[in-house]
Amino acid sequence: MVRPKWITIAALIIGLGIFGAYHFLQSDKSKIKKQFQRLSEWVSKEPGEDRLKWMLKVQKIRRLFADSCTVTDESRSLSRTYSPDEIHAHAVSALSQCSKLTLSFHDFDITLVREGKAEVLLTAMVKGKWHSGEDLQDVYEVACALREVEKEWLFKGIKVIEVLKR
Amino acid sequence: MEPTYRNGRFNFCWRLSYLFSDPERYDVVVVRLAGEKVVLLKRIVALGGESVSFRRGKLIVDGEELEEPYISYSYDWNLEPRQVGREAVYVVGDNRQVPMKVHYFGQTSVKRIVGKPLW
Repeated sequence: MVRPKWITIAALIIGLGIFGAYHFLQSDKSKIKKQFQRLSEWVSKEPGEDRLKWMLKVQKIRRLFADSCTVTDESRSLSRTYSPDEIHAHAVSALSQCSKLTLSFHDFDITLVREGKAEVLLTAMVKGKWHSGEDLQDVYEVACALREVEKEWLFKGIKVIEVLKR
Repeated sequence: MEPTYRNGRFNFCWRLSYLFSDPERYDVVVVRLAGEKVVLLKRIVALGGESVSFRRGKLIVDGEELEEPYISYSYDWNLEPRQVGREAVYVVGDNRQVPMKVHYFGQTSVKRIVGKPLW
């Protein structure tokens, strides 16, 4: 007959294992979410923001991308692979056209495909103002692929999903 | 969806709208994106299998011009006819006071429809 003490110990070990696995997955998911928060913070732009400070802030987005990142836009049938420097240059060029911009992410669905590889489906919302004074407001469904490189989750692929097809 | 619905206003979504019936033309529907916190509010103008186009701002479905009483002012939109997929609907916002290129509209899967706005 198995003693109740051993049953308790076995249950504790299993419980700790489940908690550990859950905690491990959660911590990876929160690290991934943090990368999106950083991206959001670093591309945001306020009217009258000091240009030098803003340039230094935008420069940081290079850290978020893997050596190569494939950007796909279904509605424009566009797919191209960029280096972090190219992404930075494109971001500066696009952001220079707005006087104000906020980028926010919602409805995260994070899947850890296997060790060091994650897929994220989310809604990205862009709000702001063009230099012409016109409002800018867009929403996109986006699928991202991230890779863990030296304990940092980096963007490896970004795909803009076509929700409404003309 | 202006002028029918003001941008940024609060509303509820009635999720049971299509439990026993299919979406119909002119229904205003809630279309989900990745999740349901941020959604699109659009009007169905064409159903699966129909052909849809715009000619000088007028909605044409299967070659017939349809009235859109909810439009207060129509921009001069021109869109070549296209066939809506079987499991899809064609949705457009009511705000046609903007050029076609800046308006977000098109065909979407019926599966993306979450429900109708409650009021």
